[in-house]
Amino acid sequence: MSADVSGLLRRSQFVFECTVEATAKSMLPDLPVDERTIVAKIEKVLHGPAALAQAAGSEVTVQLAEGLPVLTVGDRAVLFTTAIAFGQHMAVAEVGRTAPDAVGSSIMAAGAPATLPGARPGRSHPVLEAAAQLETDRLRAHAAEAEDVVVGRILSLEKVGPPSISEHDPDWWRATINVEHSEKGKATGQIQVLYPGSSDVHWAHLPKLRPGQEGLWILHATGVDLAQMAPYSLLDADDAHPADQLDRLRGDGN
Amino acid sequence: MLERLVNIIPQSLSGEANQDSEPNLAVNPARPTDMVATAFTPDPMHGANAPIYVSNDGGESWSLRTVVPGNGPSGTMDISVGFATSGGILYCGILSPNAPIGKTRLQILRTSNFLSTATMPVLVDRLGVDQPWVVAGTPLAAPGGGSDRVYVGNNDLGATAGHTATVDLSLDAAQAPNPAGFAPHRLEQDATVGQDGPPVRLAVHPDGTVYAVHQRWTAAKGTTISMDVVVTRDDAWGAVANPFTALSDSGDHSVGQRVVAARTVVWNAMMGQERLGADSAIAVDPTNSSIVWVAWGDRVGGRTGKWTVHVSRSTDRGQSWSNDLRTITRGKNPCLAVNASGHLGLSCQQLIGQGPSQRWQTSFEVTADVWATAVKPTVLHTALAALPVHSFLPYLGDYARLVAVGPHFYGVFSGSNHPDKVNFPNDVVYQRNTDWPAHTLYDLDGRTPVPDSIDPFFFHWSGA
Repeated sequence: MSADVSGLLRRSQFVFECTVEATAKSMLPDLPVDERTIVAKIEKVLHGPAALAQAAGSEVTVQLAEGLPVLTVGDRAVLFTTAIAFGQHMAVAEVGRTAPDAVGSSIMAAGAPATLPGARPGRSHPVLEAAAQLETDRLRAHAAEAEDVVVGRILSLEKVGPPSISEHDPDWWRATINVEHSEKGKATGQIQVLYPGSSDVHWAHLPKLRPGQEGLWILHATGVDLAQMAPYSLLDADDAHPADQLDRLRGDGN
Repeated sequence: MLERLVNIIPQSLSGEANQDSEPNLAVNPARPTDMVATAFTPDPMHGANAPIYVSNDGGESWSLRTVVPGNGPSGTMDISVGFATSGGILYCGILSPNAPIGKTRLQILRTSNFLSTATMPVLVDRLGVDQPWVVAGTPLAAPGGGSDRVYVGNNDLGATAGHTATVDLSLDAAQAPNPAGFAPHRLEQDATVGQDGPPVRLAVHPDGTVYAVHQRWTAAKGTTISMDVVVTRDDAWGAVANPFTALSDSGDHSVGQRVVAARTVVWNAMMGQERLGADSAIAVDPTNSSIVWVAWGDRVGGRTGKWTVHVSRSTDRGQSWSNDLRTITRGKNPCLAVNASGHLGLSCQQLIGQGPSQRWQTSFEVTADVWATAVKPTVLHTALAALPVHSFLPYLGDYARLVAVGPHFYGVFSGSNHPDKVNFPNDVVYQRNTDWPAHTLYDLDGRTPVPDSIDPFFFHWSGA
């Protein structure tokens, strides 16, 4: 994997292979245009959010990065970008670029496994490879900040905490988890973990637990003001994973 | 008449399936073709900023700008917007997703160019505040001529003595040094159960009269709350030593006049897939600042009664109030605005029917004579209430918004985007890829189906 690709991925949100169709032009009429504004046709989406996975064939307005050569009509490139605006078309800002050949020839759907027609078996696309590695790095960094990392099964759940009449009340619950394996820290036996049961917009994306659920739990020490309810808490969307993700955390899998 | 109804999800986001609920709207009074809408919409690329929707063609087309600092799974938490009367500056109040665990975080933002792609600067940053609601006005003559007066209603749970109904106000929000002249002022002056209800709404008249309405929680037993609907008033833009104290209750002489008292709320009860607890709206007649309207929701008959939206009016600057002029059983998110002819616009969402055929119906109506003449509401949208399944609450939103500029009404609401023309009896325009005969949304490629979700809708009603 190229270090350049990894570095560009860290700074970008949407990566695509494209062909320049026009220069000094924008498809969004209310955006400013200069000599670094181009319109390109997306040939392949290489990395990005699910909502843009099917963007191949779309025209996109790109504000090219300062300091890089201005692309001209007919040029092909892999552009690493961030968002500017979304209208009838989308507009993005270039973070960096590589030549199409530098990242290989492939077809890839964002958020889905790559398909590599004609590629050699076992050889993955550099952008996908870098993206997967970044995800693993992010998970490891998150686990490194945790107090404990365990695999275990939820034995019971109970409502805790004072009632609060607020739309954004977390609705605290306490889970008792039977630790079956400790990957980090000293947690053993049965431990108690605090989590928000609320389905309010502020809390809905955080882990919701059910009795009997087995998982890989990335546990954080509960803050002082909540610590009387449980010593550990799950307050990040990345705190709960299927138990089989332990291999990925260790680097044994992908 | 209904000029247009538009699903404001842009075509380039045809692949999205977010729950884009709880919409808000600002229309630039100086140039009503300029508009900003908001919702629980995340940055499509999961970046650092949440988006706003912008239109500069009167709402025919909409695009997204990721300019609001902080972006969570639903973008911001609460978000509300308002344009000053002149000058085109946009003000924005948000609950930032970048808050400490268990806290809410109010931020007030500003931009002089609503189409800009630059991150909006933060003017005010305070913890423990809920449901900001932005209104703005600009005196055209001295004193204070040309300065933006901005009012951000909120429920400040950090307030002492349970006086949580609050307005952060600035008398010169465009020019004053940070925090741009903003300071919190307590609307609540009476005893509460420890807090007021979340919604604090305001209405500004060009003569400097500013009304606010809040819900005073006077008793609570479990999740059953007894509340008064209270209106306060300021007669000089809030530019006085004790803002919003111009109105005293005719009964107990405390600050603020009770519109109704001892009404029942069951907190977080459900109606369809939507939670209940606090509906509130207020509007002042631009032709006569003595005429002010309020709407609220409560359970008629107590805890087991049906959630009902009520509309009442005062013609003496909020001192006395009519009986119910309009009620909507199982209504939600009432919005009020009065146009330049003194006509009242009312939009509301209502759960109708029973069982699996239950539907959310969003309607709009205008009365020129306080409903002396019967009005048939115009149905903007109707869709099965059970679909799509919610991913969080609120399902449609704890609020929607209606704005009047000149003779026109502009509104936003959220609802199911299921593409069936039966759901839009007065037609609709979708920007996103849609196959109407097949009742299917498609991704950017025009082939890959996208699941139904909750989208924000804009409407424009031209009045007399």
